Amino acid sequence: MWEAGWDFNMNTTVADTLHCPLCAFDFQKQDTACAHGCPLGRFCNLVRCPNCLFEFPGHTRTAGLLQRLFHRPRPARARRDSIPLSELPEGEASELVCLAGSHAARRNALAVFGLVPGSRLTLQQKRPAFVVRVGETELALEASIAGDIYVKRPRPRRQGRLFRFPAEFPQHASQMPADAPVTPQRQHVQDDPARGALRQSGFRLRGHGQLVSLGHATGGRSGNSLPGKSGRVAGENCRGRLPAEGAIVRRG
Amino acid sequence: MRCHDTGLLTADAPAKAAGRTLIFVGNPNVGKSVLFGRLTGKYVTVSNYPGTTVEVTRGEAVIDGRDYDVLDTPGVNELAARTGDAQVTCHVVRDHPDAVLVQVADAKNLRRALLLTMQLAELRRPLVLVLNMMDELDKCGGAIDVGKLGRILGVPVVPTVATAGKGVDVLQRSLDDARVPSIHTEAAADVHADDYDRNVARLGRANEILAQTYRITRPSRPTFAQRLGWWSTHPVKGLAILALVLYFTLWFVGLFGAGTCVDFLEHVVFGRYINPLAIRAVNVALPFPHRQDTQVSDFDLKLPLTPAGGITLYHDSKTVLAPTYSLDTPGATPGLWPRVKRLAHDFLVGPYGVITTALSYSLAIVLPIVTTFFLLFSLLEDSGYLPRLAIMVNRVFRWMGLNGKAVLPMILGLGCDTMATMTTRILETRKERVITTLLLALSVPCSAQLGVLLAMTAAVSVRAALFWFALNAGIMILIGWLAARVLPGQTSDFILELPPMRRPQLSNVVVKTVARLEWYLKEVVPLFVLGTAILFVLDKLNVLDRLARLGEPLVTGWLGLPRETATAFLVGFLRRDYGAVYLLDAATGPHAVLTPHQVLVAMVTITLFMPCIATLFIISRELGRKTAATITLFIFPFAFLVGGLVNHVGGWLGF
Repeated sequence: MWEAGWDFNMNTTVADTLHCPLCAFDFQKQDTACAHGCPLGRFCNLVRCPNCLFEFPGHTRTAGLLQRLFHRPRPARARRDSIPLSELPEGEASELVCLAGSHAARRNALAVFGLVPGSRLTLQQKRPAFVVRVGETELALEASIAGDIYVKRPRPRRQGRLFRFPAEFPQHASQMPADAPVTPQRQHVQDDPARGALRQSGFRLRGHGQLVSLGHATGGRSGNSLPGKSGRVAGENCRGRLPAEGAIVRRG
Repeated sequence: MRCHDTGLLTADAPAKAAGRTLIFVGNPNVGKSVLFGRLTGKYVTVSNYPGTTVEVTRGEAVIDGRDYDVLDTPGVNELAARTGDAQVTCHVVRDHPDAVLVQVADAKNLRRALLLTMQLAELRRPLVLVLNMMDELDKCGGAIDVGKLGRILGVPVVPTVATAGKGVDVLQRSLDDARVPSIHTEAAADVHADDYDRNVARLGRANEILAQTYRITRPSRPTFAQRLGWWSTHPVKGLAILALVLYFTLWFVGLFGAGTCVDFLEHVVFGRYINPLAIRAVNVALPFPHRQDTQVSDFDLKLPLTPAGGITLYHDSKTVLAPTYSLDTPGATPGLWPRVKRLAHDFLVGPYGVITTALSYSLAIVLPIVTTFFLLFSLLEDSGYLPRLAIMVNRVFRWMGLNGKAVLPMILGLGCDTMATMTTRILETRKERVITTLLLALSVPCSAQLGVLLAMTAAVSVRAALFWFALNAGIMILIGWLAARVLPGQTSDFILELPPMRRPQLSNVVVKTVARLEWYLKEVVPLFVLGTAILFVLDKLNVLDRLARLGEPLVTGWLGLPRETATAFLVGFLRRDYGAVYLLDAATGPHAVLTPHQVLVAMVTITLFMPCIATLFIISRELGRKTAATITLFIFPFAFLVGGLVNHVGGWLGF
């Protein structure tokens, strides 16, 4: 399931994301403004992690240089479970995991046609342009857009899976019924080696709330927090590293 | 994005205080215009592709003795103005705060419709939800619990089949029950969420509603229409279908319309009956001493098979009166009265006469071409093929800084460039709109122009005709490529909804063709008459001669054409097909004055001209005067430049 051998492209992702050394939270440079009226103002080099409020020096030119100099590709950790739409074979049905693209306008343009995480889509053709079917809508897309749409193929039901999404209208993680069965997080993660691997790769529970399952959903806007709001899973985002495979968090 | 259209809309916006206003809103291509037509009895162009309606149409309806103002708006997927046509809708909804909204939904695509419903619900306006195309939902095995949906949303829900008129009476009765939807989403109130987050939340809510009200069991076998849709976007079969469509278009418009029909109308109807009759009538009414010339009129009734040959069904020739004449006493100086009579005679039936030139050009040559084109075009539009064509050409359009979506206005441009320029509103960025408008004006001839130009290809070799076509296509791509690099701005993503393939409704095809022909007769024929009148005046004042002499270095020196053709380019400013008809006259027939090489040069030059003066007005309305002026200042010198290059370089190449 989660085997080594997946190498991923780092170059496209780390440009603007910062990684908190304390809590392993990934965040964007823009939401790090200093909030306590420091006289240094914008000359201050420190950035603050929005998750744990730890302040640390952000990217500086020298640090960046050193980083590039001694940068080694990270060891591959897990096989990708979700693939870009462009790698899905023609004629296959799949479930949308996340929309990766950089600009919000494009994601919204796709959303109004019903392409949101959790929706079922069928790839009808790839050439000369991609044609996908979402519900009763046939949509033509360019290859570049298709490369930003991450999907997962439907798999046969496995033991230990907590929710099965309804066949016709898969629901979004945040709309899971409140009375769904819940397994304590610790036990659950330890039980399943795949999820254990996920945890090692940086996923962990933040705040209050219970991690129910590392099912499939995407991070929200920044790719880190779940739409469920009350619980937070810190870790990798969908864009480059490991797709945040829909952790389902129960509000607590 | 800037609001180009607000001025236009608010100018006639004040809503009537007495009557109520209905606004039709909904996703693109769900049948708003059909329903609008059903309620108001007013025909709005209806097709099977998103973006047919780009402007607001107003109509009136009397329902239960009450007057309603009804507005039909361009389709929107959400209430944010990203494209020009979406802006139009947003402004209309905003400018009529007391209007009842009638949301038309495609019953098959209820999920997307509910997304819009929730956005409309946030406006707190009375709403009626119409589930249109219930017949198609039945066909694909779906069912909607209408009552339950109505209870959840808190608004009347009316199932209809607009094309068959089913459910329209129910809609009329339920207009009074329109109320503000009771549905709301948490995300709408969240100020931190962006459009995407909110829409995701709305779609999540839509899923919940659908789970309770909507079932679908898709038939296991795809229908023939579906298969046809898939074939037409297939990389190989799609090209074959494209070639088939193109060949049929060429045959139907180029050979049957521009060949058989034009022959019949020009040589028989006008040449043998209308023109001689008019000449005789005018001679009787305004007698002055002269003798009318005669000419031999040949007529072949042919069933064309290929551009080269066909089956001749019938042939005859006859001697008829010609518009030219000679005076009985050439040297005499007649009095004022005969001179006035002669002037009037010339104005009506002379070589630049209204009847003999303007009417026979516009009705005998252009009308059959336009009719056959519009007929075929309406068929293609209603079948849903055009958006699939966009997939096939997306890559080529990428070179031109556009995406496949721009093929819709381009193809519409083959019908009428003026309308196509308005359709560029479906494109998302200004850059794309400017490029598409420029290319439309530069190298997409409208049906009338295409017909005349195709007729001119008869005067040159097949090789030269292909050269003309390739040159035009090459210029289009080259100028598009250059413009994409020069103009600032971005090209938008290619995301296009494909409507289902449908069997065209004969009644809609006929009504639409008639509506377009009416437009042609009302707008183009007067321009032809005006052009002829201007030419007539210039001819009588001897200005034509002087202008021709003025343009001599350009026309004779650079283009290598005879002096008389300057007239053609002069009227080409008005409408390029009108100029082309002049060239056609000079190029074909028994008294051809142009060599094949000259015909090619003239064709290339006139093809690159601005399509017509009306297009110029529309460009300045859509993109502003500055852009319109820039486009004009580029097009005319460029046309002459390329024409001259063809003259000099083409000579070496042996064309």
